[in-house]
Amino acid sequence: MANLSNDDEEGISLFPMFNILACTLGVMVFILATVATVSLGADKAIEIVEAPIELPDSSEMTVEDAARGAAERRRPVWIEWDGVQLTIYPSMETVGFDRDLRSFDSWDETYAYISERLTGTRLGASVAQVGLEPELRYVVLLVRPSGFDNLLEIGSYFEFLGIDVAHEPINQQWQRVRVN
Amino acid sequence: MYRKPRGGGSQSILNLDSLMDILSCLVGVMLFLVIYTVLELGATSFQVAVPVPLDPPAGSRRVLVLANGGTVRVLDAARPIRDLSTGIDQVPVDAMPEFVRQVNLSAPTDAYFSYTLGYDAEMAAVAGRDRSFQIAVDEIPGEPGETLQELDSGSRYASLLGGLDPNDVWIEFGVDAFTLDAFRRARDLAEARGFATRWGPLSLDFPVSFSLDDDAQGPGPRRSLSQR
Repeated sequence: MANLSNDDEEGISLFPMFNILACTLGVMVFILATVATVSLGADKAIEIVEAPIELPDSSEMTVEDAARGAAERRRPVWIEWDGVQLTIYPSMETVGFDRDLRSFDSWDETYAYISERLTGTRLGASVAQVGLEPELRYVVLLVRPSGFDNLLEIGSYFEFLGIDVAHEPINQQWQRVRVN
Repeated sequence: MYRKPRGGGSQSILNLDSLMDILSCLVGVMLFLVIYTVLELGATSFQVAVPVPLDPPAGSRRVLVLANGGTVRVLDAARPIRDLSTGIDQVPVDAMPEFVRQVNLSAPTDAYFSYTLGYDAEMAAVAGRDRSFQIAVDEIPGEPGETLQELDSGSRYASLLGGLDPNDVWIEFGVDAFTLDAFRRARDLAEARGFATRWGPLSLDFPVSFSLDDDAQGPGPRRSLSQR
């Protein structure tokens, strides 16, 4: 008697292929969500650069312009302040402060505390180096809004060391900050 | 001899070539998305240019630009201080309350703020005549200032800057946490007009008062020791 069943039909199943398809679609949905997040700008990098100074020709340069030119030659050291810690760019080394800088009775105590925290750290060494070369370098403090309240204390400390300080506010939600 | 038939309808039904096409197409789209994501993650949203700090022109006076609550407003207290304090030295102590009342009948205003004079007789006895006068600054209702989207070269802020001389005036921005983007735009406009600028954290709850002493400049951010 003839056998009407087909062996080939039993041997090939599409179910594994559908598993692969479903897995692929799942990964695609995940990637689409990531792309959507990135497109909304939630995780884009912010580049912070030093603004150039426009100077006139050397023949028309005044004393003020010469001072501006000298300032132009100085190189910035970028340090972020968020109210509780300093972070130096681009190495991202941090020094934390567990006491509120406004809680001290005098400037001397405030400066002593900050010095104590910076001593022995690479960030502290970098700051000390800037203090030794004030004509070549200055500090740019990138300030988060969470650091607004005690910005005066940390900024005054750098000035106490003889370092020129420029402040620049940066948004609290910026996570990927680059300096140039 | 029986011979199994070759080919047949079942083989064409179970052909996987079409599924392979779909799969390879999906993998191609995935690769495109991955490359796009990597490129986007490495992209820069925008640049912030930090100006090299320079001292304001010698002898120049400060004008406060308040970047608070998402808007920008110019608070130039110099003219109101002058208007409210003119002739104050010639007024006898007994006539001071009446003098203050008369002055406040025509109290000065500017684009965004009103200014009134206050007098505290008890403070005059304790801290001296200069300390006894305060100027109160309050917001003018319906004048909230300009937002980030409104700040351009044709804005009210820009026209107010146009009335100031960069050789006589430097701009100090008082900035709160909610107005950083508008502050940057306003600072760019000021620097494009040649003004020296500084900024400091400042959040004012109006009305605010300040003493009318010798160095009265109006409200402003806290100053570091070297800037005092």
